[in-house]
Amino acid sequence: MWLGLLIGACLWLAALAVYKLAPVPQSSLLWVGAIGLALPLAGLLFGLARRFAGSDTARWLDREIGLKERLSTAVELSDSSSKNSAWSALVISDAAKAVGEIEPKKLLPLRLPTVCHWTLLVLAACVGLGFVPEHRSQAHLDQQRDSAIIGDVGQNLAALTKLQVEISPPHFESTEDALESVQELGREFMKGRLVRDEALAELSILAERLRDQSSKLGQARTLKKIQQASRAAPGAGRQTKAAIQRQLNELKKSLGDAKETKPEQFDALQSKMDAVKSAAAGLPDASTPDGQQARQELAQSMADLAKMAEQMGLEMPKINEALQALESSNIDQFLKNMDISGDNLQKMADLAKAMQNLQMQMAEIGKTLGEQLDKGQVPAAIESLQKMMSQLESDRLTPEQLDKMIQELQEALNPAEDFGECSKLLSDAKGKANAGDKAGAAQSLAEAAEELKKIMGDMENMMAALQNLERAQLAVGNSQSFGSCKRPGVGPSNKPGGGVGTWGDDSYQLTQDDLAQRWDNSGFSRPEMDARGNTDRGDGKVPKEMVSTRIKGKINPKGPMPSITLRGVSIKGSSKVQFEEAVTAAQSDALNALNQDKVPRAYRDSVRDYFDDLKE
Amino acid sequence: MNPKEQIEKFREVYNGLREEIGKVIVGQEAIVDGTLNALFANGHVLLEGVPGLGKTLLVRTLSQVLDLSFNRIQFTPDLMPADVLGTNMVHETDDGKRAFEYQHGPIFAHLVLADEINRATPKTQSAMLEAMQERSVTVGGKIRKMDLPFFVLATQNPIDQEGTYPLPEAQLDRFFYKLLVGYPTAGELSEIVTRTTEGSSVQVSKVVDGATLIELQQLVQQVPVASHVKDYAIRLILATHPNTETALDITNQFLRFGSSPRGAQALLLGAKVQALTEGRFNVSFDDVAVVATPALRHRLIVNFEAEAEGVTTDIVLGKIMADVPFDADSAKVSS
Repeated sequence: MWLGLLIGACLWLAALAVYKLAPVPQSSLLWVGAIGLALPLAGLLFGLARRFAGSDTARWLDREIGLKERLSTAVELSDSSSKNSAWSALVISDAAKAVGEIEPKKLLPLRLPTVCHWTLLVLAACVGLGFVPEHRSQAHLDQQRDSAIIGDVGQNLAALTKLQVEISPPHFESTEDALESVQELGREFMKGRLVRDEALAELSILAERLRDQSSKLGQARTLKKIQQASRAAPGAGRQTKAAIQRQLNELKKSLGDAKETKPEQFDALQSKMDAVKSAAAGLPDASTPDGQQARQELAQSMADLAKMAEQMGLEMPKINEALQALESSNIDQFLKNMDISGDNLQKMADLAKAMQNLQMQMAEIGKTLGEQLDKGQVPAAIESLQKMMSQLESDRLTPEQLDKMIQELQEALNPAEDFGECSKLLSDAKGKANAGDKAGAAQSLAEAAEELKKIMGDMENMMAALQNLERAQLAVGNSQSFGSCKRPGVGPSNKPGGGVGTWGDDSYQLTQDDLAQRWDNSGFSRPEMDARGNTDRGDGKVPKEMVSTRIKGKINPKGPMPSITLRGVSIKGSSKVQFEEAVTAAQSDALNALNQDKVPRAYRDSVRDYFDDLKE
Repeated sequence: MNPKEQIEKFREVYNGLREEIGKVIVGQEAIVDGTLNALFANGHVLLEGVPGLGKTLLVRTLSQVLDLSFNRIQFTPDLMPADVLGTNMVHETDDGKRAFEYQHGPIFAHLVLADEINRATPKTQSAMLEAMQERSVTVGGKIRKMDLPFFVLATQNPIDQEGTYPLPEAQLDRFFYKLLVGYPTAGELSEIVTRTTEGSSVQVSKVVDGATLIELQQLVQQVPVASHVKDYAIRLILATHPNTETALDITNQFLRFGSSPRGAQALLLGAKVQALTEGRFNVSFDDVAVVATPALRHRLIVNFEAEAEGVTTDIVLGKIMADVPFDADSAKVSS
């Protein structure tokens, strides 16, 4: 047992030393520990089970007590043929006498054997070694981190896909296979057998396979359309017209009389208020002539401001109160009222912008079923189909309306080809409607709507799977946890960024390939904005004498700003807009962009400083 | 007489001999014990030491305490084998005829002192080979048995190289023990001086006769030896054989030849006597260890390297005994 303990302790020490020096898995320590614990037990059992021959015992006693081989010789003689001889009797009796003098206490003393001292020493060394930090190379640490990230990514991939399947079960076998593949990959990642490069390769292969699969099944175009629809106007691709209209009505109700006011007008009013506040902050003493004049000008500006707000349909009582405070030379109260007015104005401006966005979304939604299908606006298309169904089931459907519906169905046949059986079902509906079978036509339309719902569900599943894979690629590629990698193409506000690429999280460290993949901004459209100033930009052609100019900039002393080469267009003529007005408008836009997180964090200070400088 | 009584008799005789010899020989207990051990083991002894240490006196005293015939042969370079063994001589018979009659040499005695044996030529030294091993002498084509017990005690001087002939290996091997006689201690020397310069004479008495000695020699052979003790003796012998599987490093380094089987015989017989002298009825490892050096030192032949480095057989034996464990796997030894 003691020997087993010593061997076990030596094993622990060796394993601990190896663990401290080399990157062996931590589980090996546990295994060695278990073996080390088992060894003394095994030694004890072995010792108990061991049977010693009489001659061995006699030799041991001779050695331990110093019997000068009396016992062993006697045992041998007793087993030999001459055991009955006089000599044997003499030797045996001599041995028996010697055995009679043995004191068992001396033979088996209650003290720890020498091997225990060594065991204690080795165990002490083990404890000491336990406090020594492990030596790990940077490469190993990186590998460990990658392994943990891969495991995390795998867990998230599997869990997200499982949840996705539970929430929205796939309708088509191909989608089911694709989701199962993603789950399987997640489980494979969780096993922790893959290194970073292998994991990236697996992710790329699977993503490519899913795209190929979609392409083979004819889903690629559908998928792309749905993606474009969701990117073009976030909401338009997913919401019905009725839902958007409902939101619009609520916003109009909130805005009241100012519902017709454009966001730019709010911005202009806000700028004026800021100017007034600035002027009030630096107002000279009222006792001086300059002070009196400045107060008169300020009062005039306030009057203009109140008039402007009234024209816009805004009720801003605080402006009048501020005017009264100004007249009573209570500048603090004046500024306070102005701040409250500014906050209210900002809220109204936000509502106006939200309404404008909804109007844009509404405008994005196709007018006819064909357009909706062509743009990938499936919910809107389903709504249109349901509307047609209700019309067909209604008794009030006029022949003209039926003809129009048939015409709309005819136009939708071609775009519907990207949506599975939808085209065929629409064709059936059209045929039945032509034949006067309204119920049959409604039934076909219902089936088409159902098919669209299935396709929409599966496409959403497929999109989510691909997005998860891309997110996993980002996480593994950038050595970040899955949770810290945002869904690509979507910023913190869950809206696509305003620029090219993804500004959602500027901490992304994308490779060139990743960036190239993200350059596809097809589907994005910029809202129609009024010009900030009319400038003569010539015929829009680049003159021959124009040369490329490399623009170099610097954000801060910490690092250079990325430089890009632009081919510029010379601006000719004179502006018809006041410089200050143009600058104020540009600054307002910049502030809005800053507030809406459209500008990367690293660039925000530079943008703010730039416009502040312009103003000065 | 049962063995117990025989053993008591053995101890009585042994202690008596020691006591009587001790009256003459001062100190030198190891030499006396070694000599008596060889006597009871029926072996011959070679005593080596510088002149004046009492070698001859020891043998002479031994002859006095033993009720046995004693002859002393002074070995010289011109000593011939016939001078030792005897020869056929012509003599006139009673009827007036002449006939050859064998005249016994001095070797025909129970106790023979071969004094300064290395001064005789190897030819003469070899004349004793048959007598020592076979206890017989062949002269004129006729084998003549020696009277038992027959015991040769030889002395030699290690320092005189001129006019000496080192004993041949075959001769050496026939000696049971080679005992090295050392200098006396201060106390012993004082006692020697007192005894020899003050005119006192010591009378020793006979302790044992030849027949009893033979009985006791037979008793010695009956002492049982356990198998593992015998294995130890064998492992010791095997360890002295250079360039074999059982050889130790020091054996290969310093030995040219190892011990013969006579060495093993000497080990066990000497150990048996040792056990009896201690009042035990069996042989122990310690008994073997005690007799190993005198029994083996003259059977090992050192090589040139050992001679150059001053390594003696005693040094080699000491290392071998330190490296060979008492209780080892007997199966390994047997193989």
